[in-house]
Amino acid sequence: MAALTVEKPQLAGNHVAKDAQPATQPLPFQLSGRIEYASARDAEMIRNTLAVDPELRPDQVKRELQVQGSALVMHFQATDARTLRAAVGTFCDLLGLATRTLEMFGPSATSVVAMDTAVAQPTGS
Amino acid sequence: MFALGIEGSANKVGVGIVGEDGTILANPRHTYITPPGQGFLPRQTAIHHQEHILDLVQQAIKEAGIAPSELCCIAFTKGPGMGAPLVSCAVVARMLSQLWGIPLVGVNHCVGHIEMGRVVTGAQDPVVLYVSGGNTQVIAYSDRRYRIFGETIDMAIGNCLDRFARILHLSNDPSPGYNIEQMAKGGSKFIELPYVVKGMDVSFSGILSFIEAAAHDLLAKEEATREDLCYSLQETLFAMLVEITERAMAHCNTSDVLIVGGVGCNLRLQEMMQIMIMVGERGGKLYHIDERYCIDNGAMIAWPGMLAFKQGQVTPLEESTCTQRYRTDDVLVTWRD
Repeated sequence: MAALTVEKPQLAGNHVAKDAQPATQPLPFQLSGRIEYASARDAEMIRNTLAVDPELRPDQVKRELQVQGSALVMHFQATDARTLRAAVGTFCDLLGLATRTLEMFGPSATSVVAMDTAVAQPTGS
Repeated sequence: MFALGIEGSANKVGVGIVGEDGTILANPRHTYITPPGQGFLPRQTAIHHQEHILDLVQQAIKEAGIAPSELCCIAFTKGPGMGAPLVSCAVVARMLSQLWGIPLVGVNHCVGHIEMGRVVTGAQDPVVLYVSGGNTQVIAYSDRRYRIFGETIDMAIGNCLDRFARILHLSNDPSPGYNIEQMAKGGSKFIELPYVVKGMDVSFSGILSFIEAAAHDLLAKEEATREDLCYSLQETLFAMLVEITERAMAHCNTSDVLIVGGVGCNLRLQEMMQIMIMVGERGGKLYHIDERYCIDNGAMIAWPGMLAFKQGQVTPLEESTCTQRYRTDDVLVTWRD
């Protein structure tokens, strides 16, 4: 079961004050997701595979990957919605590829529990 | 003991399985072909690779008739190449490495072409002309490195040909270069183009700009045909390559030449190189390979992976990143004297 939540900040001022941002930029746009695998080992393999490649713009996107039980938990933080979408989109393509590799060549052909996606719509958009 | 290699640094994705002696057991590949007039872009190419790579892995294992437990390593292209396609292949390599409990070996794509050419032709220590859509280098081996004697200072030769094919709106199937080669056979009038050799290096971008402008003009006035233009471009570019290859041979006192890379399966290039070797009377030999091994494929990654693995070189998972820039001479060639 996969669950995604998106958080959008309600601080309009952040956009206006973009030029005056300090060296460490605030990362108010966030997305969290949780994907349940058949075993902790499966989730760890996926995490190990995807954690290798760093985010291309670490100052604009922060990515955290954790294994909780048999679930992969991801958390993205970005400076703006566009950057968040790009980072999450690329990541999810690779997550899908890694998961399909597991399904096709893993210990059991159906090691992944059926995905059920729940996206929390950001408020005020 | 077998090695499985995954290649996908450009618009081809391939999976190869090789034995310890370089025998190729399976080498399936799939090419992302764009419509005429269009090149391939990183994201679309990555998506293409993601769609085909797992079927290719399965096909390779089936064709080779081996079990994953008989593999000693998973080799993948570390670079150079396009970032997103490279990472897509690396992700599958990392998963297979963990699922099957065998190590990864990161391979330099250029070294892959060289070692593939050597194992298929049996060439011992040739001067290597490596010509493809992303690279143009004249290489010779010395003291555990493949040293670059000469290279392009701007675009790769294959890129120059591909882009001219786009200007003429030629098909990208099976490859733009192949279609230029076929068209060039019908050319009879030689249009003089700039000839840009700078010492050991070559430059193609100015030639492309020149022929692009000239093409519209000459075709409009019917002073030349598309065939004439393809012919003139090929003759000019290949003459430049032959010149710097010959100079590298004199430097290295080597009489053998090996041509690798996608442009290397062009028969006219092979013919011009053969003439140079014969006229030079060095008693050397031209080694060339056909499109199965010239064009990017999985076996060209599996084989250097096997060579490195046998020297005890493996790539830890956390170091299995890809890099768009990775020079041929960065690699320490541990498997040669």
